[in-house]
Amino acid sequence: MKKRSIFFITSIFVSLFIFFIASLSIGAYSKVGFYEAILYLSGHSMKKVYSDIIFYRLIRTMAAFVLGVGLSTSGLTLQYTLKNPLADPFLLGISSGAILGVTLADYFGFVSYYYLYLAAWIGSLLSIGIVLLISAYFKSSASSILIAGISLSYLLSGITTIYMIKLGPKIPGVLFWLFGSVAYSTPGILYKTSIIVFLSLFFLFLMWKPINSLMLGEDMATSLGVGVFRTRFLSILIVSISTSALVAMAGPVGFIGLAAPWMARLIVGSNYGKSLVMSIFTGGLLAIASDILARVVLYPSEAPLTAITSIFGAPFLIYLTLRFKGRI
Amino acid sequence: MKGVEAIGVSYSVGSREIIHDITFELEEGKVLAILGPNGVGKTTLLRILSGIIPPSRGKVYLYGENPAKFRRFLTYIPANYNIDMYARSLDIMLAELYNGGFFYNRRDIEKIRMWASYFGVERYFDTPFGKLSSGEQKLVLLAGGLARDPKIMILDEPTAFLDISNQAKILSLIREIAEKEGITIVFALHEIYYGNIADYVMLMKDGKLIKFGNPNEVLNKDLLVGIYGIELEGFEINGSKVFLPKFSKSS
Repeated sequence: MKKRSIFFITSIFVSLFIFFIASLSIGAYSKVGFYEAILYLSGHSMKKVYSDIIFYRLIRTMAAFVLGVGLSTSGLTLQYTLKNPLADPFLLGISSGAILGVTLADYFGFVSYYYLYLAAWIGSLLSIGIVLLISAYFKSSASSILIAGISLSYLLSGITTIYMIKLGPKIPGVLFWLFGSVAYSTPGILYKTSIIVFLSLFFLFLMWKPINSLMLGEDMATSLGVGVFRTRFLSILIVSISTSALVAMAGPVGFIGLAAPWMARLIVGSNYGKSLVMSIFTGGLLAIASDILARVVLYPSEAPLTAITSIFGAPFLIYLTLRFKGRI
Repeated sequence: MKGVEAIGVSYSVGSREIIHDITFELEEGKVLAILGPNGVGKTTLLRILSGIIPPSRGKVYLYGENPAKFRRFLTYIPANYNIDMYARSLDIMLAELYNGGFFYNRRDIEKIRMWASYFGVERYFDTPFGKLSSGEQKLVLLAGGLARDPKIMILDEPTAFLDISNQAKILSLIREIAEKEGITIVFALHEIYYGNIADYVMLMKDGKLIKFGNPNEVLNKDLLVGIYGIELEGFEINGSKVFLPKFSKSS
């Protein structure tokens, strides 16, 4: 491995560790700082009120990590299976479909995690299905798939807003979730979401070689013995399962699924297997860092996570679009 | 042993038949060049031989096996490849290996290194595929395709978009590979003259096989005029036939 890659990989791991601890020590209650967080992690006893605050932040940090891992690995997978460098669960409308599903489930009174998750999954499958049908029918380029995804997102957001207004007094709780945040994650939800995300990751890892071969294009991959349709179908299904769980937990969070895979690719190269492993860490790092920023920018109040990821992510999307100009 | 055997192969899209009843045999380790104007079905035939699309009628056997079962020993390189241009060349070559194992092993990497250095593209391992010239891209794909130890290579227009020196380089390498490694090679091309490097030439028109035989028999002026529908001038250079379109210069 090259020195440059080793340097970046080491930097990602060190940063992840530092940001993890920082995430336990930064928040509205500043008395519980870096030192207390280290004491807590090393098993020292402390006042219950302190340990409760750190425990809350620990769940939140782990939720951010799982969110980052799920979005990043999903984004990377979509970039390979759709051969689209700009693919991201948020931009392709998967998240918007899931949000509409959750809002409708809320509206009709199905509020347990499983109902919400199921509704999110059905919504996400329908929306990615529509985008892929449009792209297959019109033989679209990567950028037109993106435009279809973004347009569908707007359409679904419009419907979501109408049903949200109909929710009446329940609006404030749903609204913060709609902004995207890990602030309300509970241990139970984190546990269920983690299982779904890591199981999905496991299956993606099992399929790494067929997914990797898609970089050669359909004909070459088929001639090598890869079931191109099967690989695409299964990987998109897995991504939608993972993304729906993340939306049910944290609402829609954009751009981590676009930026973190690219960070991974720039560090370890374009091999899908290596990038998949690396994107676990770049995704986790980006999500934790964004969540810390969300807590800091309006201190002692909080900004939604999506606001932070969008502020940094949108210029990155413009950069990638310009970089691939003429090729997508 | 027969490297390739096609028996009554036809292919239809809707009601339109674009390949009509093609039958031929090619012995193991021989080179076959397929010639014909644009749109006669050369690419479709190569895709059928590679097992990418099944024939509507007829059978194809590679070394006596169905192409779908012979994929492990087949390398197919299309003319218009739709490759991730941002992927590193080494990763493209590794993706071409796709030999079933879960991880790549040291031997796989060594084979890629060997073929890449044979073709002089080892220095591009870390270069994004899209940053290479067309000739370098083809050499990278050939190196990756050879690293999987194929018994047959099917190449669609390996000389397209290349300057004359790269064309010569690729064709002499193809000849060399067939002779040294005993690999059966089938390739389509537009430059009639290059048919001379093959052991056999197949002429196609409107989805039909017009003539199959050694270059001396097939590269025949009357046949070629009939196929391409233009006037040609023929020359002989070092025993090989050269055909060029006849131009009338207005003074």
